[in-house]
Amino acid sequence: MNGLESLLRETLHDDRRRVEGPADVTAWVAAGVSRQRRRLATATAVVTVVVLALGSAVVLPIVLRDDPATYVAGAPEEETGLLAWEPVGSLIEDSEAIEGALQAWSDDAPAGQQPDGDVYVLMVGAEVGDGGGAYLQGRSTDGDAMLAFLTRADDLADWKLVETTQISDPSSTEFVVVPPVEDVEGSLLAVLAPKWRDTPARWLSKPIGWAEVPSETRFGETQWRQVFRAYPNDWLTALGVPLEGDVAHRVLLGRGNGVAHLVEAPTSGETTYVGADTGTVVRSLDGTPPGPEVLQPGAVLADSLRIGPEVSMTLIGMAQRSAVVGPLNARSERVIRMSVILFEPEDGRRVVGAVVQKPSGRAICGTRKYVPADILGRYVAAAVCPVPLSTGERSLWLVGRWNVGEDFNPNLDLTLDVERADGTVTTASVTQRRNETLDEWVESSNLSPYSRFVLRGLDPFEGTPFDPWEWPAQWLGVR
Amino acid sequence: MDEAGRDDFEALVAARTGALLRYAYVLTGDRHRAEDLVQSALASSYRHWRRLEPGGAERYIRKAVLNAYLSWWRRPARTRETSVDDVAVFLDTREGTPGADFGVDTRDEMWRALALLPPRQRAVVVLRYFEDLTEVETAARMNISIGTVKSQHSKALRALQTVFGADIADKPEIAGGMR
Repeated sequence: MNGLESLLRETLHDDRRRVEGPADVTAWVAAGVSRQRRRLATATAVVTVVVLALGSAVVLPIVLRDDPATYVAGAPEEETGLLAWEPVGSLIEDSEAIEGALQAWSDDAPAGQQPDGDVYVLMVGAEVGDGGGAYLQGRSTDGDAMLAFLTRADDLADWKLVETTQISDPSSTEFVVVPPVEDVEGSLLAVLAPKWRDTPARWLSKPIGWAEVPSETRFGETQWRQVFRAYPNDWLTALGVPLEGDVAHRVLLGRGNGVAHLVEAPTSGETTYVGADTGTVVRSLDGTPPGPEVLQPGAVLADSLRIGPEVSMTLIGMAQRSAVVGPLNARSERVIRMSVILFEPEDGRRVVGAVVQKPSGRAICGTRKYVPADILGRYVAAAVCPVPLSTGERSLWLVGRWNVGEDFNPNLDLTLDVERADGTVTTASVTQRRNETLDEWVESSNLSPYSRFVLRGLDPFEGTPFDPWEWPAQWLGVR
Repeated sequence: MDEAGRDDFEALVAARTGALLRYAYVLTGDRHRAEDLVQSALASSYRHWRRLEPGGAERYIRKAVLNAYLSWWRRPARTRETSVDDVAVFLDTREGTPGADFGVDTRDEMWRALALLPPRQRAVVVLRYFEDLTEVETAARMNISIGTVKSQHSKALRALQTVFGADIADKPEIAGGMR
């Protein structure tokens, strides 16, 4: 035992620091017992009230789920818009995580950088290996706050603080991007602590995921930052990330499949880029696959289209079966399950999802551009994917889905005309029953940028034709 | 609780309240919080008296005090009460006890340094140097691993060493300071 420990022991046993208990110990203890009983009774009453209230509270969030304003409790509506992310993974009510984070942060952070008051767990990340990292985007809508990354361990006391970032611009409408945390072993946790305990910061966050490749990977003339492994519990989501120049990023996260995408779109409105699983399949603007022409299990096809300044749609398809998918364009009859999720990236909301069963040689080719969605506000969506074939031909894959509820069961009839510059027209018609997915292929060879696609159909509710959706082939990446 | 149990409980309260308060005080550094913790722990033990192991009541109470201390710290800051009066604790303002090698000023400085330790580190220090528990016993009391005890202990000593410097840390064992 050295001098420090001796002093420590001596101080703790210092007789000057005695505490004289209350004069009437019996009454004092009795008061404590009485107080605990009152608290117990109060807690029981509160639990009862909460249980009763839950009965009415369960339905409401479902009804309001598509209202962006509900994504951020207490946030003014004007603060939503593009940044109206659903705070997936944020404000986790995980007492163990909060306890560990608070403890680790307090133990490891230098003076002045410790959390002051409560913390909010923004996300719990997956395992990251050597060279991996975390990356988080978000915006603080009011109040100063500090953001920290912590490694999580089985034992709460073994958690470590990796990095902290001060967020000090409460009025900012810009994204706050926390750079990747490199060279971290273990799982990561992102935690937010309001700097001022009386002004809790609201934080809109999106865990982008865990980096698989170094940042600033260059690809042709375009630049994309990272291909991410998806946050395992996240839904497919689109994020807009303003970058330098006229380039914008859109990040798509895949749920459960461990795959995510980054799609890049110039603000000029030009259709841009398709990214895929950790570089397995990457398509350039002209459709030439620069990488292996094989989609690995779990791979994602993603595509994005900006149609003018107001309308922007994104299509993402995901092969969910683990079976190896054949090369692109192979005519294998192996059936895969493929999801198509349609987005309105302008506000990041998921519009509709579709699941189809297709022979892999065809379904997996679902790439290239997409058409508008949501007719009559009733969650009807469709996508058309010109598929470049190895022969130089193109096929169109028409897929869509609509849902209007169990009490309404009309069919949806859609017709897709492919009008070529030479005047020839190819037509495909599909009839979709309620909650089924449109799925039809259209021969679309000899397309040029001046070809047009026209989608027509009957309003399933009114029985009258709805306004045709038209878009030039160049919007779909046809060049 | 039956009459025999009540007698046992009252006997324990009468005999051990002072020691429990002292234990809570070295944990919290605050007289009023110490009283609150001990009162709550005693009340809790009263409610669970029949389920306590024979002879294990004080161990239960001490663990309850420790848990209450750690959980109190985790409560939102706005819901914590802060005591400002600690003067009454100093019942004896004489110089250090005979045989002690460190003066009052040094011990007071150590006391202030202890107050700056995070609760878990402070708890480890108290259990190790006040309760004289081994690392294994400390781990069991706190429901943490031995490795965590070691790391928290090490961190605490490093933090204290930054206050007192290397000289005191290198000072050899001082018999007079030991108890």
